[in-house]
Amino acid sequence: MGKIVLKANEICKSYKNGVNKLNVLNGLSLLIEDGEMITIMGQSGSGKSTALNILGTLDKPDSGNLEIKGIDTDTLNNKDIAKLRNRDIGFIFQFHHLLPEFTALENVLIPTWIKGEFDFEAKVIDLFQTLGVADRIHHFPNELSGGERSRVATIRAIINKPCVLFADEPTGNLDEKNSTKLIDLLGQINRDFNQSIVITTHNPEIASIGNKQYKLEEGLLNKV
Amino acid sequence: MNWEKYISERFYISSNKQGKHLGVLSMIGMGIGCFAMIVSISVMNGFETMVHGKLKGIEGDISILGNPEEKILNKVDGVTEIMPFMERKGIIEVNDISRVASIKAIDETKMDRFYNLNFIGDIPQLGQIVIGQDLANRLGKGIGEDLFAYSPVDQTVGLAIPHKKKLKISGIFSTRLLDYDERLVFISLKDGQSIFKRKYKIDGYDLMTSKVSTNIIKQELIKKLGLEYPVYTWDEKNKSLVSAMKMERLGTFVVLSLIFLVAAFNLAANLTLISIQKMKEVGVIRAMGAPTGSIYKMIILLGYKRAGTGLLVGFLCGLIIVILQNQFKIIPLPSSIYFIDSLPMLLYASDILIILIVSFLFILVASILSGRKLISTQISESLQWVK
Repeated sequence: MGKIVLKANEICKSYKNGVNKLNVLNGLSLLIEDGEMITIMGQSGSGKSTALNILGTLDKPDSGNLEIKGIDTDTLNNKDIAKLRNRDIGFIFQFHHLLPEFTALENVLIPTWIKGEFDFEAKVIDLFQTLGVADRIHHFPNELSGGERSRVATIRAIINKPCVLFADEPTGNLDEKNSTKLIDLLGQINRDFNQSIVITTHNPEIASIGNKQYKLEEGLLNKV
Repeated sequence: MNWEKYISERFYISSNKQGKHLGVLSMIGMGIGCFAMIVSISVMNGFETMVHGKLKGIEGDISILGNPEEKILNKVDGVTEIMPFMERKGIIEVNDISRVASIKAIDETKMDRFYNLNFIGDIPQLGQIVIGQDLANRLGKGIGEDLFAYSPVDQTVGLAIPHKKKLKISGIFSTRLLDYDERLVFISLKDGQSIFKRKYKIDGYDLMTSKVSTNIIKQELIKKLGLEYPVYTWDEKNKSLVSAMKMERLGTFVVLSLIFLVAAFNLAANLTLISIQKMKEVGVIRAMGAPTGSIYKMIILLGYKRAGTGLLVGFLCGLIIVILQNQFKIIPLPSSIYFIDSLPMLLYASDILIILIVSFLFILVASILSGRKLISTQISESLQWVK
């Protein structure tokens, strides 16, 4: 058994819409070990993004407990959670969310700036070359193709060597060719850097790449 | 590397494309506020200094009542001139017209050096008197003409009839300050000693001081003379005038701060708009681990960039006006109405500091208020924000 990097226990989350209450997560529990590739499959609206947001500390659960690298996130203040997010969590969003005001290189460097490290440029350029987007380094997001954007977003997500990388339907906005490329890339990152990755998807083919595969149904994770 | 500043600058450039006009309005608002504040405060300072200068030219910086030894006063650091005086309320009479006046007997040999009275004629020798322009007008008398002066207060002869002394008008002064031109007359110390029969030959001393604070000199005088002799600084002697000027100054400051307040609201509205426009981008930066403090720093820097330019322009324009007015008197005043021929303007470093602190405080508060929306929104919500 590898080192546990994330432990979620009995996570519940609901949303209120006027008088109606929508229970999205009903006691979700998950254990992520070092170097694992986990896929979570679910229908649209099943709560995949909500689950990932909570696991990635972007949102707070109504109840339940989340530990990252053995630290209970409930005991941390906002500043420490931000620090944890910066150092130990990486995100790849469905719509890449690259900042339009910054070049590809700057977008990737922002997490390192936040960390307080300002000499990453050479290393980042290497990564751009490895991922085949070196010629796009000084381009703005609107000058990049969908595939290029997703690769830049991937570099940004792993630049601080997080202990866990969350990818929320990363292929949702890509064509088949680019989807395959991105999934291959994530697999390569998982193998080469022993990077723990959690991918949500509604595509069974993509879900099949996980060492552990889960299905999110009625707010609970069921192992496939 | 100041990454918050770097990101804030990029947001500033892109927000300029979307809300340029609002940004310019914020700048103008802050600029006008700063300009108005600088000009008004400098005018208040100018008048205050002018009034002080005039009062100093009539009463000196410090007055001591009583009859201490003059040589003790000479030894006090900062005392540059000493004028012994006797002063009483008295009557100035010409034919059937009589006026109450404050008759001040002074050492006429020092009059030229001590007083700044806008004076025509000669200093009063024995048997002579110098009166104010308004009193001269009311009495219908001019230089070379006679009048009678007497003090019924402390001296009577025979059947309680005061001794009248005939004096020749040797000079007329015009201060145009308060009612000095009507109620103050100067005679020589010897004439004073004959009109006012007193135990002591003088009532006190007016002192001129160097640039050392009058309060420090006052304390030094009290230390040397003891509490037997009351010592008053010019502002203590003119308490109501000084407090009126202070109130006026405070009122001006508060009213003009309202211009800043309105400009700050405008800035806050502008920054809130930018914050909403940048909600998703800020959400992404927060997802990458930027702490709340950094987000506030970014929006505050944005606020300073937006309003700071206007503030700086307003500040410089105000400063230029003050300098030009002092050098070239570009704003004249009718000297027949006021006692000066141009608008006095004077700016102290402390005022500049206060104005800058107030301005920056307004920008800071406006920025923090507009940043609250960004911070209070959950990151997951920010990421789904639709512009």
